[in-house]
Amino acid sequence: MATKFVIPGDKIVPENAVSAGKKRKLCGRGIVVHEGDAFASVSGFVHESDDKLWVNSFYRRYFPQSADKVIGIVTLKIGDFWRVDIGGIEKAEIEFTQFENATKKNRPDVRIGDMLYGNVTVINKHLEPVMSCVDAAGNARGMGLLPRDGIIFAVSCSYSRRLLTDNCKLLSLLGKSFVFEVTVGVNGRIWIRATPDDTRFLRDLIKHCEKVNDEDLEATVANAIAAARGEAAPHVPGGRNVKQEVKEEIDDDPMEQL
Amino acid sequence: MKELPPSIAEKEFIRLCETQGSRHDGRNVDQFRPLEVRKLDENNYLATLGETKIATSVQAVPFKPSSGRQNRGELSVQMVYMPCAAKAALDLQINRMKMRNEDALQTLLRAANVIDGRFLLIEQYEAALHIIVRVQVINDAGGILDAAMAASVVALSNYKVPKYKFVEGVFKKISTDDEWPDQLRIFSHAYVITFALFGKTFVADPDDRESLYADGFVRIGCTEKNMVFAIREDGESVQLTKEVVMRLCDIAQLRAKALDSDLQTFFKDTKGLSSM
Repeated sequence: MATKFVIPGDKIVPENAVSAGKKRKLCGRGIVVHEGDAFASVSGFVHESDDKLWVNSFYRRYFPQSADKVIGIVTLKIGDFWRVDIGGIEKAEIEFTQFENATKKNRPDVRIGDMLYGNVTVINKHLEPVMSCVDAAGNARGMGLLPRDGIIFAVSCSYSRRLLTDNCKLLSLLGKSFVFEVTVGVNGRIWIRATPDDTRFLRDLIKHCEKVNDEDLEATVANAIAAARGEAAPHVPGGRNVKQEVKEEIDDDPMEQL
Repeated sequence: MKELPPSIAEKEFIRLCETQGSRHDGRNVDQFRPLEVRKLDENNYLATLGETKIATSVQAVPFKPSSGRQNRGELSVQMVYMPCAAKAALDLQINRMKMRNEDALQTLLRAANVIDGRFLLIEQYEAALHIIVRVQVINDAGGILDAAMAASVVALSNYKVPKYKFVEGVFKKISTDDEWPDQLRIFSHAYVITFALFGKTFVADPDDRESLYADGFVRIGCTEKNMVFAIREDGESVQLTKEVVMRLCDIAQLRAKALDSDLQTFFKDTKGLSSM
C-alpha cells in the first residue's frame, strides 16, 4: 500500500522493520542509497514490503532491470544474435539458444519485426541488457515468439505494472465480454489479439482506463461496452454504502433546523 | 506511439483494416483528422492535425537580389524537428525526411503563388525582402506537410511586413508600429492533402503508424478555388490512372474547401487580389 508521496531528494525512512534473516531491504528503482540512507531520485509514491522498498512513479521510458518480463520487437540480426527493441535506451540482445528446444540444427524462425516475450537480465549497467525466452530450467513457460497478428501498442510503464497486479480487475472484466489474448510487458507494451473490431475497441478502452481508478473500472468498462453495442448503460452498484450516505444527507438537511 | 518500431503484427493488422474499409484508428478510408490552427502569440501559430503539432512563424529579412531575379523577393522555408518529435533512433530517417519536407513545403508554397515575389521589392535591382517561414515540428504523428502548409498560409496571411528603406547601401527599418502596418498580399490559400496506398486502396490523411507500412503516397496541392497546382507520387507501387487521379482530386478539392472555411477567421482581414 502506498504510504507517502516523495520528490527527488526526500529522505525515505522505512516504516516496517526488516524481516528476520535479512540485514537490509532491497531498494528498487527510484531510490539512491547514500551513506546508509535512502533518498528518492524520482517523484512518486513510496511502496514498502518486508524486504523491498521502491518508489512508484509515472514514466514512459523503460529502464531494464533483471527478471523483468518484457515484450520486445526484433530490429536487427547479427550472426547468432538478434537485437531487440525493448523500449529502453539500449537494445537488448538475444541468442538463438535462448528459445525452448533451440539447438544449432533447430534454430527458431525469428524475423525482423517479430515480437518476443521474455525476461531481461542486466549484467552490467554499462552493457546492453540480455534477453531470454526460457527460464533457468530451459522451459518457455509462456515466453517466446508472439503470433504475427493482433496489435501491439505502448502505454506507460507504471500502468502496465498496475495491470499485472491483483488489485486491477480490468483484464478480467474485459474477459467476461470479449474473447481475446493479451500479453502485458512491464516495459509498457501490450499485445492483443481478437477480431479486428474487438481489437480496436479493447486497445482504445485499455488506453482510456489508464486514468480511471480501480474503484470506477467496472462502471467505466460496462458503460463503454454498452455504448459500443448501442445499449443503455447498465446499473453498476457502487463500492460505497450509498443508502447510509443518503440517510446522513437527509439527517443533515439544514431546512429541518429552520 | 512513436517509440514503437515497426512490427509484422502491426503491419498485418493495419493492412487488414484498410482492406476491410475501416482503418486501425476507426476512421473511414476517406476520413480526415481534424485540423485546427490556433494563434499563440503575434506571428506565432500552432497547427494541430490529430496528434501532430506544428508551430509556424514568419520573418522578413531584407537582402540584395542576385542577378537574374532582381525584380522580386524570395520565399523560403526552414523546418526544425524538436528532440521530442520523434524517436532518436530514427534520426537518420528524420533528417532525410526533414530535408524532403522542407524542400517540398518550399516548392509547394512557391508553386501555389501564395505570395507574389514582385510585391516584396524594396528597390529595383538593389533591395528586396526575403520571407522566411519557420516551421517547428513539435510532434510528428503523420501529415507534417498538410499541417505545415495550412499553418504557413495562415501565418503569411497575418504577417505584418516591416518597412525598409535602402539608403546608401544600408537597410534601415522605418517602422513596425501600428501607424504603418502593412500585410503581405496573399493570392491563394494553398493546402496539401496526402493519400497513402495500401495494395489498391488509397486512404486519406495517413497517421504515423500507417505511414510506416504504406506502399506509397500521393500528395495533391489544391487551392480554395478548386485549382490543383501539384500532384506528387512517392513509391514504386503507385500507379496513377486517370480515374484514380480524378477521384483523389475531387476528395482533395472538397477537403481544401472545408479547411478554408474553417480557417476563415484568420483570413478575413488579409489583403489579396479579391480585395482590390
